[in-house]
Amino acid sequence: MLTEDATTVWKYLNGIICIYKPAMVSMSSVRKLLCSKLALDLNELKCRKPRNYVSIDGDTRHPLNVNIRSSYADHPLVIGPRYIPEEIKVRPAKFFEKRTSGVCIMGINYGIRRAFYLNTCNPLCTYHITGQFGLATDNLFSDGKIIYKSNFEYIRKPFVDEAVASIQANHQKNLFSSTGFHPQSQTAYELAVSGMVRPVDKNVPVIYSIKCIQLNLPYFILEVVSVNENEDYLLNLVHEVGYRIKNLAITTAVHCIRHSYFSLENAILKKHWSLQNILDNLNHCNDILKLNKEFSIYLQQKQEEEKKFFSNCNEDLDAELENEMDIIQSEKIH
Amino acid sequence: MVPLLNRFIINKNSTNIIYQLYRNVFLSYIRENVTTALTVTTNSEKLLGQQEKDEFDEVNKNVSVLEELPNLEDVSHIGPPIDFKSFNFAPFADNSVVLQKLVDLGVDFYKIEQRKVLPTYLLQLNFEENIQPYISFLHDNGVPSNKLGRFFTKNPFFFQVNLEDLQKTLWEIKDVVGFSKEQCKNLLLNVPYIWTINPDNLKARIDFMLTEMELSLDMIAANPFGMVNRVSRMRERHLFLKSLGKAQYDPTKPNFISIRMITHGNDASFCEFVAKTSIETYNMFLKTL
Repeated sequence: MLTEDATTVWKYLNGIICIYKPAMVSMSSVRKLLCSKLALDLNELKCRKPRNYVSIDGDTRHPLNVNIRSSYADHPLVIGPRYIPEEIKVRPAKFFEKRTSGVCIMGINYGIRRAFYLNTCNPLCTYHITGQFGLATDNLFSDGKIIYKSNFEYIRKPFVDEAVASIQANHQKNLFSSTGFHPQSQTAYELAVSGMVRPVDKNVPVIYSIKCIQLNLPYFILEVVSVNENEDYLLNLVHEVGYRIKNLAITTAVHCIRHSYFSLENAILKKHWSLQNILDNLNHCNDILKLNKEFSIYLQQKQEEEKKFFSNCNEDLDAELENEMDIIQSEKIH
Repeated sequence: MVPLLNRFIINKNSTNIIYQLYRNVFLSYIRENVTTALTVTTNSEKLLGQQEKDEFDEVNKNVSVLEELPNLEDVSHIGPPIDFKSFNFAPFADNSVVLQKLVDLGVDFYKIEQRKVLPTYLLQLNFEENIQPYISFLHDNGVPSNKLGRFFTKNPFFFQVNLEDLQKTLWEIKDVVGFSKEQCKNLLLNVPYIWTINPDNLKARIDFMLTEMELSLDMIAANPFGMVNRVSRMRERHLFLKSLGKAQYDPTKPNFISIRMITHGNDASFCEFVAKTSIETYNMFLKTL
């Protein structure tokens, strides 16, 4: 690190970072850990010194003494360390539940807004979901209570591929029907040519691609590319795959390997979460976003909208203030 | 000037002294700026009753307003009251000698400010009477001076304890420990940290070693270092060794790996000496969990 001054480092601590969220750790504890780690590292740098305290004391019958010492009221032991974890804002772009692990985008301080817009532009997420045939539990995950068991020796890869392909076809069909155009029309064709059709509703999960990349009985791995999904939906999806080949299936791991423009290579592991690594990652993520023209144009649009909105607010406020000042001045004159 | 006047405690006995003090202050004001001083004096007269005003006039009949009065008494002990409410120790820190000395010892008031009765209790203490004997007691019993601050932040109500009772219980404890010392000696000497671990966590660790790593209870007791490590760290390393085909925990077979080898050292040394791979492959593996 080139500077040892905490305030300059604090100024640069705005943006998005890409971290690796471990499984079986909730998002809130990940956030708390990041905040406390950042605050600890910031406090180790050169912080502001306590202010001076001027005291005038002595016998009032004689000339008084003026003493200057560092104030105890501003001492870090009395009012607390200079940077506290509650002061640092950290929010995820996409919320992951406890069992999901993998690439997770976090906004820090002013970067929260950027993380929010990264989520509103419907980014694609890629998952590797590990499942297990022949079991059914009460919560669809491997840590639940086992309810049923079944034979799975007869399962072959084509069976799984067939079930998976029909799910994907269903989703594609539903996506085009939800746009409202006739699938044989010219506009539907143009839509399909222009690129990926994104869902309008934020609550409808859509799967763009689903493949079985590994079958090692009873375990199998699905690669899912989707939008608007959550953990419960993915667990249900694995259950459905089992149902379609007339068997049972549970999930053993949900692993996100890609989120929008960020992949596992950019993510930093839990043991590497320190101020220096986070700042490096922040710059790296910023560069990646700058290279992507689509997102930078989208971001600019949103920022201009915000500016307009706030400038309108300010104009209204200014007008009100001017009116008030006029009234006060007129009262004074009279 | 006006807010300053309001903050002072005005008793009937001390009115004269305060008046003397204020006169001098007012005079210095008059020298600088006559108009401001005039407004101040008018405000200050409002604060006193008619009777007190008459008394004051009688005393100072012949003295000119512009003349400086000789100070008869030392009034440095008079100041603003500090019995107001605050959410931390900061407003009291510059006035209270006790707080200042405790801060110098290293007591972290930021951590204990949320305990309800504490601030009023601590501010009433006298350093030489209430705190010094406790410090000398701790010093006699072998607490080093740089750990006193940490000790008082953990036990801020320590100054309430009777010292004689404390000495008695200390002797009793030493007698009792005499028996159990030999039994617990090995565990205590090897891993004293075990006695501070949350029992639920300890159970989870032992469960993990018994079920997932398939170790025997005797092996765990012989190598208590496994109990000091986090489950997540143990699991990561165990799964990595398993993926390499090196997870062999039976001492009677070749390529034996002990619990100490798994738990000891940082990731780099673990990769180099135990797993015999590079740290990069280990990090890549961690991203697949």
